[in-house]
Amino acid sequence: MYASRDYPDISIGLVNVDQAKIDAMLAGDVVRLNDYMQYAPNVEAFLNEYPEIRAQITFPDGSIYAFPYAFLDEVSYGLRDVWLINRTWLDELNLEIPKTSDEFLNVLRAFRDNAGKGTIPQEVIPYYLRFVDAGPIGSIYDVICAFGVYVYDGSFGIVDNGTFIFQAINPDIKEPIKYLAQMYSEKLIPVSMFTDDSATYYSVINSIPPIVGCSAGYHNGNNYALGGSYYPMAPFQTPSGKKPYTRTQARGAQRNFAYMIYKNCVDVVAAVKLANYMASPEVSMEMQWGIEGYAWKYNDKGQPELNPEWVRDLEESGPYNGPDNLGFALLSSDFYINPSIELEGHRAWALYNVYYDYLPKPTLTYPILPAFTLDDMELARLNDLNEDILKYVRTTIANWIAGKGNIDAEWDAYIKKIEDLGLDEYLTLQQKKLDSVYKR
Amino acid sequence: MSTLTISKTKIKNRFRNTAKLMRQNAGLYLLIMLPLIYLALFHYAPIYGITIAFKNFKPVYGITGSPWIGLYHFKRFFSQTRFWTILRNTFVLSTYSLLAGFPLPIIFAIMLNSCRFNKLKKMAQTISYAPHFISTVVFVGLINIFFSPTLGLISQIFNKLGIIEGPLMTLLQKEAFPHLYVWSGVWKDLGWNSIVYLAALTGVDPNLHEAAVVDGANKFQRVWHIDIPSITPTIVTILILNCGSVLNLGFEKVFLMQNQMNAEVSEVISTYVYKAGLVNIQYSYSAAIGLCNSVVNFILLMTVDRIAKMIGQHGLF
Repeated sequence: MYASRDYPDISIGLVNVDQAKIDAMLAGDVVRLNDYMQYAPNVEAFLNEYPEIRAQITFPDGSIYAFPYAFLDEVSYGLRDVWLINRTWLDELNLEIPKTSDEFLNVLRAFRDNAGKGTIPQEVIPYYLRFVDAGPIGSIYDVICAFGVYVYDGSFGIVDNGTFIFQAINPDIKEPIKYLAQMYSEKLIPVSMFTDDSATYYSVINSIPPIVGCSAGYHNGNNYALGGSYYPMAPFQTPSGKKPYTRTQARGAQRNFAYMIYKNCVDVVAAVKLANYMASPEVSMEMQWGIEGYAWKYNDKGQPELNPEWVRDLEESGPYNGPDNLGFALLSSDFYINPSIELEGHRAWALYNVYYDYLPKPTLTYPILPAFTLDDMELARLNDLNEDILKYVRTTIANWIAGKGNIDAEWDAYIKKIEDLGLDEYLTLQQKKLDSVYKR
Repeated sequence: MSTLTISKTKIKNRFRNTAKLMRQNAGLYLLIMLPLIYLALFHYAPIYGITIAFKNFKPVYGITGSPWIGLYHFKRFFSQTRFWTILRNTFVLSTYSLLAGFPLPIIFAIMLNSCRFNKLKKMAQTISYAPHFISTVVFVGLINIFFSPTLGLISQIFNKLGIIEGPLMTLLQKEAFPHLYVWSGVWKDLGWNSIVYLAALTGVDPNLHEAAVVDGANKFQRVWHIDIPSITPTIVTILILNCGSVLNLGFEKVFLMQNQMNAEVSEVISTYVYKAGLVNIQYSYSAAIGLCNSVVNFILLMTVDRIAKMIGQHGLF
């Protein structure tokens, strides 16, 4: 579509092609919306209430070419994954939820050694995780964070008060990697962690009856709150003595350009009005959570209230779901009541009752970046460095976990190699990218 | 003066003859027009697009509208720290594929051709052709399921037989990757690739075989002295064509078979183009790498063709 310049009137969603969108905007193919804001009071009100989101979508010359998708609910963005442990099995084995790294190992060993007894199946996987390229879901980062080294995803990049920090070169990461290697050698985490795809991951962690003792994920239909086995586990204490972290996501518009109107749209005003209609809290509720009456309903006081059973119903009631982060919505959690916060074991409950103390301070969260960060050549160079450095980092760490090589002996060579691959330039460019947020 | 008039008349006559012949065979010319138009439209016209390798191409500005950037993308590719690794991986995988995958279909075709039992021959053909029709995604899925470390079929069988103890590490060993890649490919396409040789073998004059039998040649001698020399031109042609696409290692299969543990040996040019170029919407960069690829392939093709001619075989042209 962007290559042929054969555009529809409007587009909603369209993820992962921000650069193509920006090119189209700069070429004049997308309608500049600044002059039409009077037809979109809902959007305008939302952007006024959250000026940081307005900054995120505004071009350096002040132009706005698209409306963002923003879902501001701490229960959603506040916590990346819930770390879940099988409470049924713990009860059967008379064990407590582990609080230290040693206890965690012992619990996993108990799961492994009691395979075939009680409800623990023969093919039990004590702790299921997956070593993925870049994605943050269900990977090694929960363990690394427990050791007090904050890592959000496979980019190993975090920010502290506006300074870019590359955690892959932080020597403190050695301990969690050794810990993972120990789990690997004791067969507490599966060998297939390096090869499983996301479909396998979801089917394994959601398997009924459960075959996994411990895992992490955004949702789990087999949650304790809904009568299932999995109970949220706080990050454990480690011998490092550092405060453990749990992972959180940045607050802001999740998509910069969710609703766009193209130059051949015959009635721009109508298209803006449609966006305004969708941006109203009621319609955004349906776009985000799903159809009224299923995902949520108005309570006796006339307030929208979420249905806590909805997570479990997700698979069965697909047609009633909202498009979530693939659509267009401007919604803040102030608008509705979430009874799940009271439901023990639920993600929402866990955020405030299990994880709140372990969330990193907001200055440690990598911000959602605005549309414009680097120029073409800088972006190209950063892409190349990303490819080179992160590929090397991930492969090396994967090898260390799998017991190939010695992390202590090889650490200096590892750092040297990253430096040779262009570490300094990488850090400079990453910093420049961040500065577009902090120095604006 | 007179010679000029004669040659002019000659040319005129020749032209007239050609025109006459063309009129007579108008149907045939019409027939060849279709592939010619196809070639011109889909293979020659798009060559203009190569220019984006030298431009900072943005789709919205089009091929002509994007600014020139010179050899930037070529320099960028050659100065990549992993350039040599990627190139080496590509060469290793494709050369290995060629060495393992080229002779076997020939041997298989000769075996089928020499088989006396028709039913067995037909069955062998059907069984060996079948894997070719499995799509790459499903095929790699099969590899992953069969070779899965703990729950995989092969791991289970090997454990039962006592060949290995514990998980099967094939998928996790980078040393195993080229073998797994090449031999699974051989298994998939052995039968299919033998078809062209089988067709060439059916063209061998039966009189030659009869004469050889009369002369007392055994089966092996007949294969060696009649079958193989008869299909040599086919073999050479296919070999030249295969050498010409050494760097064009298929994308899907390598990409799907990649994992963190084999990343070092499994990154090839096509997967790199995808990751560095297309995912990040850098079409110019992808085009530049693709162009380098084609140039190398062209040089290889011409070299092998020239060598074939030097040793007395038919070349392509």
